[in-house]
Amino acid sequence: MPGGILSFLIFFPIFAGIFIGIGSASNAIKKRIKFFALLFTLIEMLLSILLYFNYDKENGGFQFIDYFDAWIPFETFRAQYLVGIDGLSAPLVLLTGILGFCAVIASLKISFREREYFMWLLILQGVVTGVFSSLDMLLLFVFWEAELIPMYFLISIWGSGKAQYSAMKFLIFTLTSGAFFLIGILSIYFATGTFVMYDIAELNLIGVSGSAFNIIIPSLLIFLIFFIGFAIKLPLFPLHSWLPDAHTDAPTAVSIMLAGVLLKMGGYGLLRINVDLFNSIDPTILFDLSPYIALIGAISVIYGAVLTIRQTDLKRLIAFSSVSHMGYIILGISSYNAYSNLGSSEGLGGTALQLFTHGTITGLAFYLVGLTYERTHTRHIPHLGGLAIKMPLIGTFFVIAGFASLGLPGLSGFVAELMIFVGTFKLGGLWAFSTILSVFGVVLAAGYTLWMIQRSFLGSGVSNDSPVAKEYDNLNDMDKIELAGAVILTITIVAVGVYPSIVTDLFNIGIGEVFSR
Amino acid sequence: MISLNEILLITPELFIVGFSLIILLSDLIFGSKFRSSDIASLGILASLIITILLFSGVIKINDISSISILNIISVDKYSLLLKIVVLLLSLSISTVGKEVISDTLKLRSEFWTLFMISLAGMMMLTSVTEMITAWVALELTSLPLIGMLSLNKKRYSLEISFKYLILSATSSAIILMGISQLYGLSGSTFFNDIMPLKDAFGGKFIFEDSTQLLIIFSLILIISGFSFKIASFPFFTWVPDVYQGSPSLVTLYLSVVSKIAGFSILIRFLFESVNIEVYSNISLFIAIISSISMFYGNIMALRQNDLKRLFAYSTIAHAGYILIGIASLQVNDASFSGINSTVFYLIAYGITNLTAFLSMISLSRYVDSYNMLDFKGIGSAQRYQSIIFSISLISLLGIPATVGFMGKAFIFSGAISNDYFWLASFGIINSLISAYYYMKVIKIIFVEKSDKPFPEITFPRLKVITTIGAILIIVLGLAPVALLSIVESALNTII
Repeated sequence: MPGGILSFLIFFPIFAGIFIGIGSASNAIKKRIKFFALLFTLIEMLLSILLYFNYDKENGGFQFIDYFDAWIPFETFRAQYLVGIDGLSAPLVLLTGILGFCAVIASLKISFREREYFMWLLILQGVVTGVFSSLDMLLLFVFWEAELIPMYFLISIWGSGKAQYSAMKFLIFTLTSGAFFLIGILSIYFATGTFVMYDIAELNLIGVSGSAFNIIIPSLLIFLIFFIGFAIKLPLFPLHSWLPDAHTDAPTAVSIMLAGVLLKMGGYGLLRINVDLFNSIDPTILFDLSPYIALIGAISVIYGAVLTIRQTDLKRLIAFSSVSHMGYIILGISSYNAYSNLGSSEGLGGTALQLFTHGTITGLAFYLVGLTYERTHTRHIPHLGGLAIKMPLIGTFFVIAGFASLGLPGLSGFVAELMIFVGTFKLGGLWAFSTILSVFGVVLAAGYTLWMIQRSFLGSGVSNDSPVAKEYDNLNDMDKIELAGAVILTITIVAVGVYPSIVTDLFNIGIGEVFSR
Repeated sequence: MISLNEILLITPELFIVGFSLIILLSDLIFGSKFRSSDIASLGILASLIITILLFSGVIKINDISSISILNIISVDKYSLLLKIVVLLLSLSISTVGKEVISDTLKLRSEFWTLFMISLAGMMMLTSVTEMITAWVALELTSLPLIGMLSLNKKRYSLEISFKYLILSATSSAIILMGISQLYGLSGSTFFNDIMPLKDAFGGKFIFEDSTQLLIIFSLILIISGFSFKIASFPFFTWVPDVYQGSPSLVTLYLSVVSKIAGFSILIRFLFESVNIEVYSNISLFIAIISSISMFYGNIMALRQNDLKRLFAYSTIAHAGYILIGIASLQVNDASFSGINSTVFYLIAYGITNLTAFLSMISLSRYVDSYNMLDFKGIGSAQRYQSIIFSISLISLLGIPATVGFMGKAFIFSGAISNDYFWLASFGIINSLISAYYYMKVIKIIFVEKSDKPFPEITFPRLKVITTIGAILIIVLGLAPVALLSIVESALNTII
């Protein structure tokens, strides 16, 4: 692969978005905005797939590195443009590419301020790719925060319901998360003198951490600052209240991006900094905290699942199920202990895989809810029913997404959850207790998913007092291009479910390197 | 004696003063044939060119050993850089004067004369190195401003000019009190000599010593007095009323130029006269006034509906951010110094605030009000100007890819590396609070829908200046090196 390909992957959507936003002043482009948006994201998706399969598993490490020294080149404050992907981030870059394309397909029905819409959507995609590939922490932070502006406009202008309230809530919560992140990276910078994450590993801080690292504030505090910042973004109970609102009111494509890749930024941050970076700073912190982290994760799983059961709005339901599923990520991270004791990484591997699979599964679910909503104009579950009769394809894919979400073997969700459970259960003690608790989350997930599918898609039809009753006979199934988006996501889900090594190989390389650094 | 060559060093100031007279004479002789604001622009441009030539070293003044005049005025690169900034911002103000100046303003030529005199004072402020001269320069900036505030037919103008006058006099008196105490202790008024314990105590600071307590006390008096100019705690109560009631041009001048000049003298004074041991004590006081300014400004701004008032509170908050940098101005070791980041942030804030203010003024002309709710949906009618306004607001908020973010990142870095972790955290918390009101403005402009048509008028000069501002915000936000290296080279002359 030629050099600069990763930078191209980051900046191509950004410039394509600006091109759509500004260039569409000319009529020829204005008429074809959606075509251009599809084309650009298709190129982006194909390139990310190409990049993914060109990652050299033999050598591992950071590949496709692009380096530009002179971003902020000062003696006392040095930051550089440095991007590259390793086993941890390559699948997430792939995920962003796939979901970006599906998000554009999901928004082909947008008819209001189109050019701004696609401009922000494409910029969002580029910025998130930047988050997953930055190796310099300040650069990472720049992308991390820059994602806010597109999201704010996308939710508040094209959203529904209390869109402006939800957009502001999203903004404040994410900025808070960014604030924690910024304090954390600056503290690390002034303790180590570098923003580059893999350079910090080479400083050999373990053992000297008592003296060298506590200059600014204790390293435990830095760890917690990062942890809280990422927990808001993930989101983890009790910091999750922004997520259901943002999801419910956001347009379909934004829900896909939000659930599919933006939440993954939190999980990626935890893996990249709280696990990877702190493994080379002071491994005892996570080691000591991990049983409690496991417990919080389990609480988040159960709490999210219980709330999900009572939801009557399809989108809100999937949003709460995301809170539950993100709890597994926290649980998986607590099995960090296992690596130090037993030298195995099922738990962390499962965490990374959960990031990927939840992105595809929830992406598909939101995609289908969006399609359904376009047709029925309501997401209120009691008003729905028997939709599978009129829309068999949407119904089928919805069932697949539901089964994947509840962890049916053969679909990708199962593999990830199993790996996490195996990883944490064998540690015994509070870990095993949390695992047992979380397993009930799977039972609850089966409950709410199946019940939702039954109420909205199965049965003989909608009840007569439902607003959908009038148009029920005219409901159409998905068209070909919409089918394409669903098929892409389903293929990913099934492929990972049947043959997880496509993704886990890379994740395992990434995780293994964390502990060999 | 002052030689002719030394006079050459202050040609930029002389040009400004000369042109202030030309404006008056031209009004007397030619009447309204020439626009006063354009003559002022011409004068500022001439002065700016000379300053840039001096800064870049194209003009070299031979035959003098030092770059200072009688040790009172030091024309080093630091002062030249800040003069360039002050002049550029003033040039922008006078250029758009034609479009911004309201019909309620009386006596335009007098207004611009006062503007130029005040500007000369600001330029002096950037380069003085002696306390009495600094005080005189400070008065030179304040007194014409009182005149400018009252040259308005609006009802409030007398009230606010009185408010400004009284507080200005009080703060001057407090500064003078501090200066005389320092003079009494040291027998000198030069920045370099006023710290008697610089050598006498071997640099060791003992709190029991009453002399040293007096030094701390007088420094606190001086900083408090300067807080009037930089709109920070404790003398900040005038800001919202004056901003709201005064003509837009004066608000702009107060918020952008006056503030930079005030900070430039404060930085030089604290950097050159105070040694590290004293500084570590005084910086706690600065950190406290910084925190109060930030919290007060940001929390009060949350509930404002008048954009000018909102900007007034935001300007108080930003004074707080800059004070974070000043609190970490001097460092013991080779850690990241606050001074570079402070000067960087000062310039970044000047650019950003100017752009924000000018685009706000431009947009307000379409709705003929400064009430936020009247701006509903203007984003779709005046797209270009609204985008620029939003870019500047995002920069004030400090989102990456804007110069505001880089400034804040440097400021907070300086604080963290100087053991002010809590202060940096306060700064970041305040950025969070400010997100609410900045984004509220952007939301009203872009997300909400307008219920009335907007008039079809254009302001070409405002458009050009704000476009340059927005480009600078983005470019310096992506590549801060360009500005930071200039700042570093300029600061080398006083470090």
